Amino acid sequence: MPNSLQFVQRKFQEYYVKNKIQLPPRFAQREYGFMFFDREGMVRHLGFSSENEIIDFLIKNLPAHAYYSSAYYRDPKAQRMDDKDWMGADLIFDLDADHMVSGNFTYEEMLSIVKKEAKKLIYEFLLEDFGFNKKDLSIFFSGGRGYHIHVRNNKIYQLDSDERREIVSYITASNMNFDSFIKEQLMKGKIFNENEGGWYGKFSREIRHVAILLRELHDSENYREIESVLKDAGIKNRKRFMDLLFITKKVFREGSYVSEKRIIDILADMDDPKRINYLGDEENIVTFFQLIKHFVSIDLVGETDEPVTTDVHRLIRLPGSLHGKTGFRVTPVTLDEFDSFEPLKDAVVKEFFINEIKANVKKDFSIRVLDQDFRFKVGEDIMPEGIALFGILRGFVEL
Amino acid sequence: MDDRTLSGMFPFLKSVSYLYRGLSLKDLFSSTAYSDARTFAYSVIMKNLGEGDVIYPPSYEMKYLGYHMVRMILAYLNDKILTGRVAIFFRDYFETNFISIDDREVMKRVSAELDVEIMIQGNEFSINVFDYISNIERLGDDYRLFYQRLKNGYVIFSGKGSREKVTKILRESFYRKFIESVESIESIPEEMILYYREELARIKEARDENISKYSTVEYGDIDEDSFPPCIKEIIKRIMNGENVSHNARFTLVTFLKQIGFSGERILEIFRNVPDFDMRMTEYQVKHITGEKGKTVYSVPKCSTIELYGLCVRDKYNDSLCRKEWMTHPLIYYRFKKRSKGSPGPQDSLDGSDMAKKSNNNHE
Ligand code: SF4
Repeated sequence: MPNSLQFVQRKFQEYYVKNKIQLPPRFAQREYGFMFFDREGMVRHLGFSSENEIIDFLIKNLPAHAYYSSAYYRDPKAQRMDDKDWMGADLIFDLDADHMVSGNFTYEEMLSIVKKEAKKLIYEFLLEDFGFNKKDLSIFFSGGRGYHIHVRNNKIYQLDSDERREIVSYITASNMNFDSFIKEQLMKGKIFNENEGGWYGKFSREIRHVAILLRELHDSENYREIESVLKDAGIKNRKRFMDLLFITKKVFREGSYVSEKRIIDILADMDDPKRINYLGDEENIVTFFQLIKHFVSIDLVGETDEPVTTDVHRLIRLPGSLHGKTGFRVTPVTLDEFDSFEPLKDAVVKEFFINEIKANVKKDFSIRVLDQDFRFKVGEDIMPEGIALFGILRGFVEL
Repeated sequence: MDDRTLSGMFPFLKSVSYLYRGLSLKDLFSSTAYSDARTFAYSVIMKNLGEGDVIYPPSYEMKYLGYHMVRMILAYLNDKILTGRVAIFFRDYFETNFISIDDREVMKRVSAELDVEIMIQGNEFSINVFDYISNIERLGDDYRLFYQRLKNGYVIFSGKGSREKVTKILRESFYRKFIESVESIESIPEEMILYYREELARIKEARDENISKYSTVEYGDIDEDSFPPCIKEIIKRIMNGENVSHNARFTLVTFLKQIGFSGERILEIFRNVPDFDMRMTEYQVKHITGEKGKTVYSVPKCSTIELYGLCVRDKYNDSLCRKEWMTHPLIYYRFKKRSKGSPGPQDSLDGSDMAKKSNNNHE
């Protein structure tokens, strides 16, 4: 173990000597905290007044994890939170596989699920609903299993914890009663306008999506998939329900007969908010809404870790620092690059892949890094330093 | 709508204060020219202390001036509960007035001064989402953000009832700002204390009479450290086995009862009295606290306690007791307790806790 620790610290040192840290705006007003390889707990309430000071600290102390506060303080070094004199805080969203992905996924698969959620959060919610500008957002790969999104905009610095929670509740629809949406539409006998703001428009747009999806599955005779989709949504009497959707009905416009269409086509293609009534009685409509509700909760509900956003004193990973459980870099990603960003390539420290080292594999493991598949079985083996670093930090490897 | 009218309807507007520049506080609190304003202010305070009705002045100017006098009086009394009640009174005054205007520009101007950014188009109101969420804390579930039409950073209200909803948001903002505007008054104008002395005395009198009535439930957990010196002194004497006077018992029991002691707990204290007679004491306690008999006795005010010879202000040289506005032991308790502050959420974030959280969340 001492060998392993020395190796890890040497690698971290090489990295901090050669690389720049991206300092957060107003970095002197922030609190910093660190965790170390050879000590328990966190050293916090630190402050730095220049870039060099931070770099010096990192090189000297080689922390396993480096954090800074989302908050700005007049006196970030004060030992008591009350004495720091809070001035405001960035709005932070944390998307982490731990809170999102369950089941058996590879590291790569997990990261891609989280990335998809991050995109939804950014485009559907932050830009579209909350109206933030692209330039207000900074996105970071955490170096571990997720992404952090930092929002900086004059309107948000002063928001308190409850106000931030309201934003999270909106995104995650937590404690929101979807049935009230259904009720409202049933009562009015029409569905919401697709352009309406908030969850109203979302709900309505999903009606079209679901109709199109069911039609496609049906027309390509993928009945097994239909069955499983409906079952997941808790729809009873599935045969009857599907039959109903594919019945043909006469469509009238302004009193005059226009054409004959299948209900599913009416739902998918027509722009009439009253088209829902072609489903017939209220029971059918309710069943259909139940299906929509199911899809809304899968497709549209956003994910983000609530305590991170609502904590206005939160410490968050320092961009450019190394993650002490992977050896990957906490990496800034611009919105334009986000689509093509590949954490297991772009957040990997390339210098760690020049030399190889002999290491002792304690547990089988595999990982795909820099477009290369690495696979190791228990026993001695030679591997790139970066892989050894990853293995040691995850407890698969010893030197 | 001219600024003069606006000043009476929305007296908090900073943009109309130029109309009243140069007015002397001495005149305000003494000249007959402003007696309507003073009557208005006085009646608002008294009404919220449970006495009489509000007498509205006929002119906008007097409403404006009366409103600001109320703020000064509240700052002088330094009584959070009363300030809160008056805030609600003016909040409703604001609501009525805001609903009555039709001028879009005025609506926008008033909203802007309440720090709520609003856009109006036809019958559609758009409120900046962050201004919106800052003002819904006290409103019902219907106002939760996920039930709103949110688009591009604005919460959109259209159709029936939207005007009323927007007004609700604004009035919440008004409420907070009113309280802030009272708390931010740092120095009480000498002129008021000098020329408004009698009215202030009557107000304090009424407040002391009514304080037990209007503040029963607001004390929260019992905090013995915050007891006023006179009460501490009485307890100390009882603990030392002294047989204290009826007036002392009366003061203590009414006080303890008011801040939430149960009859049981009060009796506990009296166990130390030398000639402790359980049945007798129990009877007395129940009688005083209103469990027996019809009368509920309220806690005597400082001047009465002084009369009983139980005020120990000088003995302990207590700075709070020396404050001009310290007229009642309950005010003492409330003030002390609040200024000590209860541990806020941020205290839960000490080092060890934080380290744990970070471990969990930043894998
Ligand atoms: S001033 Fe009032 S509170 Fe203070 S000791 Fe005297 S009676 Fe008690």
